[in-house]
Amino acid sequence: MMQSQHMSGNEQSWQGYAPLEGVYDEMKTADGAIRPPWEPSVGAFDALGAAELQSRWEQGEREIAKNGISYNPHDQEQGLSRPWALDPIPLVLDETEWERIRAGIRQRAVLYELVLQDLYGPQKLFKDRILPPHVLFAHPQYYPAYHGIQHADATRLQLYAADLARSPDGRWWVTENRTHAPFGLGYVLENRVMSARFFPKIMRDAHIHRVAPFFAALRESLAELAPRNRDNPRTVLWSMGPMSPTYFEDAYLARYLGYTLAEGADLAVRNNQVMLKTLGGLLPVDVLFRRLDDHNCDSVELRSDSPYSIPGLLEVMRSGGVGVSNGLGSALLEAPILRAFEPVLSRLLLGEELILPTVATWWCGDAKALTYVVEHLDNLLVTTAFEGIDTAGIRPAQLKQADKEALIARIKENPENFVAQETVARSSTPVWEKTGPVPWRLALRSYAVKSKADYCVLHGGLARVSPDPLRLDVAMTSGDRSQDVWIRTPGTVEETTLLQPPGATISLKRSGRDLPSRVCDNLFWLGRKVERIESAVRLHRLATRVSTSEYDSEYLTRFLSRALRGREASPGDSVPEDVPISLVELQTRLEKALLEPASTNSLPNMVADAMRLTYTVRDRIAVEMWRSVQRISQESISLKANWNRGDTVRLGHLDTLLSGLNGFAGLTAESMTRADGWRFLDLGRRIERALQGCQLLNATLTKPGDDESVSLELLLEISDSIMTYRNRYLATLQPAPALDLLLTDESNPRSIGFQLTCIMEHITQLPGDQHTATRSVDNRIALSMQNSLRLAQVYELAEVNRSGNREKLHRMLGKLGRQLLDLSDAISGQYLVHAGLPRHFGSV
Amino acid sequence: MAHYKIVHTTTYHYSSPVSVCHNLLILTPRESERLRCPSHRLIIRPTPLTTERRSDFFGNYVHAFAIEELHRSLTVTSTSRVEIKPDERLNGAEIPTWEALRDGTRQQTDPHWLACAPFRFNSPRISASPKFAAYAAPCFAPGQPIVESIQRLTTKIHGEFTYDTRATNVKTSTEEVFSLRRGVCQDFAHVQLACLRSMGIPCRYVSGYLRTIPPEGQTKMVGADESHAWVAAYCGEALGWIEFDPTNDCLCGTDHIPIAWGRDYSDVVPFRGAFIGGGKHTLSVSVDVREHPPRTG
Repeated sequence: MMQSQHMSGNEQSWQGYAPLEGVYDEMKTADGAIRPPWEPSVGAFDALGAAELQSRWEQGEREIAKNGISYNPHDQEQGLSRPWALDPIPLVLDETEWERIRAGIRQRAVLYELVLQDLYGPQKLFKDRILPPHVLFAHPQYYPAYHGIQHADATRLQLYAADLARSPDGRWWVTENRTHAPFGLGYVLENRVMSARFFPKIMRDAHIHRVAPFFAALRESLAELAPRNRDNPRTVLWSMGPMSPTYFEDAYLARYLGYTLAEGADLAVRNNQVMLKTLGGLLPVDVLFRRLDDHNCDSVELRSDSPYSIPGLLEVMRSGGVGVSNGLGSALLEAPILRAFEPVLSRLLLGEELILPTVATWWCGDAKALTYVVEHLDNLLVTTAFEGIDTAGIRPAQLKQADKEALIARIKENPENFVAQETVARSSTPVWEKTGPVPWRLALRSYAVKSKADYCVLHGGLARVSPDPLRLDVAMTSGDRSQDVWIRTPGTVEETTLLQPPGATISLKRSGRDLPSRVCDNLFWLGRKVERIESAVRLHRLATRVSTSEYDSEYLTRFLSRALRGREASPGDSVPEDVPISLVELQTRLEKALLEPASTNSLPNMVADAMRLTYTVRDRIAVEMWRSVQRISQESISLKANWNRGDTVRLGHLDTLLSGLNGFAGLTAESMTRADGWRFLDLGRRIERALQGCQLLNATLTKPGDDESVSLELLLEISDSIMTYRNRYLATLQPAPALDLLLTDESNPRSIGFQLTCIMEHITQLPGDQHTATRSVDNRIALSMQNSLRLAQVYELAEVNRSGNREKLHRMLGKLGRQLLDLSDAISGQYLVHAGLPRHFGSV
Repeated sequence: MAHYKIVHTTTYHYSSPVSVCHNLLILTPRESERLRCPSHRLIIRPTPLTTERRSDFFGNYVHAFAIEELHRSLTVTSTSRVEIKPDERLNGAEIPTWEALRDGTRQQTDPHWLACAPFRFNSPRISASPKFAAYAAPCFAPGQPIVESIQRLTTKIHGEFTYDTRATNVKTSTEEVFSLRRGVCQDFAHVQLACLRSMGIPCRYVSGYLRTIPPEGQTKMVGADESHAWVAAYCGEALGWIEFDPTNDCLCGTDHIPIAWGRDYSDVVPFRGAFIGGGKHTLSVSVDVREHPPRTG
């Protein structure tokens, strides 16, 4: 890097920006002048000062982390979910230059649409020997089923993107085409939101074109695909799910465009229509905005092992029952082999030269091209003819002589499988490095969307930057950054936002039953998980608090080890005899129970589960709820780190953790609409709380021993009911009143009876139960539990038999516990697991 | 001319109910100059709401159906009447050399080069390689007529591969079959296709039925026949696609009744689909090919 650390002065940091030798710099000319479109912004950044810019940017990064838009718990460590970090400096282009890019991208979108129509239609390009038949038939991802899905003249390319590089002479070149599900629009939005938030004035003064009109055009374009309800089609953004590297962007786009985010498992073909599986039943889908590869779309006719597919989709598409963007088979045009033919295709199909040229590319299947490639190998980049995208090419110039010869032999053995292209020495552009701008290399992605009969090009784009230009040749790379792209206009900026669709009156609706079943399933388990975390935290908080107290250590350790065992037992297990253990031993056991990495019920694992579940429903819950789960996660990490720093520190962390959990509960109660999502979250929580209650009472009360007062006090304490007890009964601790308060009293929000009342209430409100004469399984279980508890005699339950046990209580709690587990299964079976994953015939 | 009645029954039994299934069938004999199929009937139980019939990219007849009611078994019975003429194209025809064939389709000078294109390259189950080319090379002497070369290859595979119903299953890769030197008709056909593609000859996989002749003195058992598979190779403008059966080392005549063709087995799977539920499933297939004189009167 040319930039040195000492340039902390504001003026110097921008004036002192030294472009790289031998390449075009976006901001500075060769003689050191700032290019005109950059002038006002550079001036403004300068005026802001390096320190202020840095501090604003740090604030911005915190904001991103808080909103969780950068976070995917599945690859927390690798950070793969986010290929690009944001950079605060935009790439600035003026309108004249932009006009050329716009025209070039538009021209290419038109061209590729024509190529697609021909390849999956009359194939004149093959017949006239313009394209070799390899383009389709030798492509490893080609499926004959791509033919005949759509009408010959139907639009297949709603969305197109190209990757651009600028050579030292200032010309832009196209290096890649994206024709199936162009990635990056979510980042374009995110970058713009961040720029607007942190440099509002600079942006306003610079007269930047908006990106919103493009997204409005995208919505219109997708709506036009709808076979019905064109004015308000049900559009689903079809994602590969949270494990996919594009999930962040999928969720972001779905939210911005107002589409339902769904995975293959949420969608199904019924009655020759694509349906979204929701709690309220199946809802017809009009348009699928797919974000996955063509061959993964239908496991019946395409790749049969695709876990993302909608089996039977192609049959629906053939009958015109659903619109799918982009059309299937469009991915094949991304193959490097096509780039060798672009100039010819443009002349032939459009009668024009390409406005934005393709980097010179040779397909080795042509004998003359092969000779040229072998002779000029050192100046070229070699890739396979079909799968160049996302795989790095080979640079023969960097190979040893022997390896180079081996490469030539490989090419000659199978020339049709290789493509070689020239490379562009990419331009550089300023990137922010803490104290000032430094030059990094640039790749610009530009997008076009079908708009009526034409294509509309995004007034902006996605700039990817990296200190290593080779990294930009691969589409997805970690460690690089992305920048906003500012197209400056001398005129006025057109105001559009997707938030107020022009002219349309939005019909009122109460948030309804179009929630995918899978989302409810995840919310249900999130509820259970969070409650399980809470009960663990309560136990350890109590253990930490009382370990140095005046309690008799024998009674204390007995209660705590019983409570701990209760968490690990299954409902109905008999309670084993107590084995006296020392306080130290108990502490070890407690620590192991909470922090043991191998246990699914350890705090870190439960929190990780809760994070994962929250992540999958993130577009369904308030941002604050997501943040609250994140706080819980952070606090559990600090708890683990500070476990051995003494009781006071530990208690502090446990208290913070508990208040975090209370915060989550509060948000659930105060910020979620009382729709099915909330119901399932709360149902999960209530079932888990009742279950934990049964286990705790069973472990601590069914074998009372000689003196129960310490047990009872700790039990009331851990159950957050000691205040109520003291108000009612003053200091006299007796089993029957305690049992009433914790088991049968439906007015105590911590009692099992209270949980059962809530469960009953939720279950009667769930969809599908109102019109049948007989009660459903879940309803019967819930009612049975409620009745047996309401009919229970607390004094009888409190009786101790001759062997010193509370047998009746033990039996009742065991039964309740088992019923709660059955209820959980029944709910899953009835509402959530609408359908398992599809399987395939091993065929005859 | 031979007349047949073919009954092909496929049944899936499930240990627990299937709630929904989507299926594609390729069971209707494909008509050609030599083959006529005056009647074809498909009976599906449980009865689907709709069955769509269409042609696929290769021109095969495909039926698509879905069942959306709970079912514990699914039966498809396909009954066809077929008339098939002997193949007389080779009688006295002038046959091009295999090199002329290879170069003509590759250099796009053969009038049918485009129709051959889908069958020249790798496909899901076939990857050309020097290994297959080396195996086939001795059969392809320079300047030899194409049909003779392929017949030699057919004989070689038939002689060096053991017919073994237990060595492979429907998913075994062609490479594995090649190293095992064992398999069933599907495997033999795939090996021959891999050899031909490695030699640059356009070729396709043919699925169909074979009339079997019972051992002398025994009556034929109903359902004893099987689905069969063989290959067809492009042998020039005059001859078109000639069919070879590596399992039986013969050219295909009136005993071979084609249903469909494609690049390999994956294009012509007779019964494919996805289903939800079902637990364990068992499959039973019976094929009965019977000579059947045309109805009179």
